[in-house]
Amino acid sequence: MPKDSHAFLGWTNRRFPSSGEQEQVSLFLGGAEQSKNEPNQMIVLEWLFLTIAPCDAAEPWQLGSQDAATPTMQGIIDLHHDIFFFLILIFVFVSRILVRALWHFHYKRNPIPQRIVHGTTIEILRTIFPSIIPMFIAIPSFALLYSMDEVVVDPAITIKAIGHQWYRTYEYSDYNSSDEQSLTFDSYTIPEDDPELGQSRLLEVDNRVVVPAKIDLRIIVTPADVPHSWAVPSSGVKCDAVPGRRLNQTSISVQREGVYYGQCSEICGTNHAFTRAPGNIGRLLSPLWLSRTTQGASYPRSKLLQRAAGAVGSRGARQ
Amino acid sequence: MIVAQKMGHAAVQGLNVLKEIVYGLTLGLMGGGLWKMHPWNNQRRTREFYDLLDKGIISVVVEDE
Repeated sequence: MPKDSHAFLGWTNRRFPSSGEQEQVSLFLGGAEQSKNEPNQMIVLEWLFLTIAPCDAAEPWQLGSQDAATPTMQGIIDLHHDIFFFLILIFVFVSRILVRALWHFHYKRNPIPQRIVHGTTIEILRTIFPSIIPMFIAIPSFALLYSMDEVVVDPAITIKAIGHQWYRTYEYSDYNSSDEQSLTFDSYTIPEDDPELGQSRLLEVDNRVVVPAKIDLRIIVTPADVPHSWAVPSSGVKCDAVPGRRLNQTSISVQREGVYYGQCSEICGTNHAFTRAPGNIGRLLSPLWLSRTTQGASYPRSKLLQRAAGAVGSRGARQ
Repeated sequence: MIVAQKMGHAAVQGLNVLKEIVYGLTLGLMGGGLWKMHPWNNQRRTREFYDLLDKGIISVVVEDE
């Protein structure tokens, strides 16, 4: 298998776009292309069967979830699949019984209706059997729920996501030196008439959140004005920003590099639909990548993130 | 036969409640099994993807030209 193939089994090398660069498009399962503004780029498949290409933003006509980038989202998808199994079981069973009953008790086939008052055995069975099914559903459901609720004691980075009408402010305070202020920046959605070639409509922002991959992150979410909600579907995270003296916390551990998109998920006013939460997940914030994506290595944000990268790197990446 | 009769009166000749329930459950399990092939396939491909990613055979980052 070629080591540097750009198109391997349908997966493409996805470039992190800095300003002015195009973003490559993956050919997703089912043939859907990523977004209206992106250039069509045919991927040459080395094998004939279609495979999964990571789908980290909303797709036109999308039916299922976005591809999981975190263990949490993978757990959510797996739970959905488990429950769907029981759904199909019950649907097929009930449909069959219904069709058979309609068939056999049709007035032409069975002109004299029966006068069945009760049947104790069948009533017991049809009570017990359906009550066992929720037990099978509850086991994986509670397991996932409690694992999602686990508080990460020692995250590598804590990021504050502050919701405003109608933009976000992100704050990195962990790795300041004593005389420095926190790295803080605002993140506005790129207007509909202003995207560059390759950017997704109403999903891109001017300043993305940059975080390392394969490491526990803590996100603290709070608003500055009205309720908001910070949601990134690929990461399986949605955290409400509640006004007042309240900080909500969520933790994620993204398993692969990429650009992940999210949208505000709590009505917050007239531009609620235009507030975004996309982020870059980088390879432990390598200096070269930083210099490309954060406007130069000498840019203050780059320096602080490099310091963070050094601290994170010395702790070692946790898988 | 007795169980079937206990479960419900055979209102129509040749109709066996127990048999209908068993057929329904079998079809339901077959349908569910057919569905499960999809998540199993997805899990296999996801595992493959991350294995290849960890080994460095594929990458999700475009190298500088």
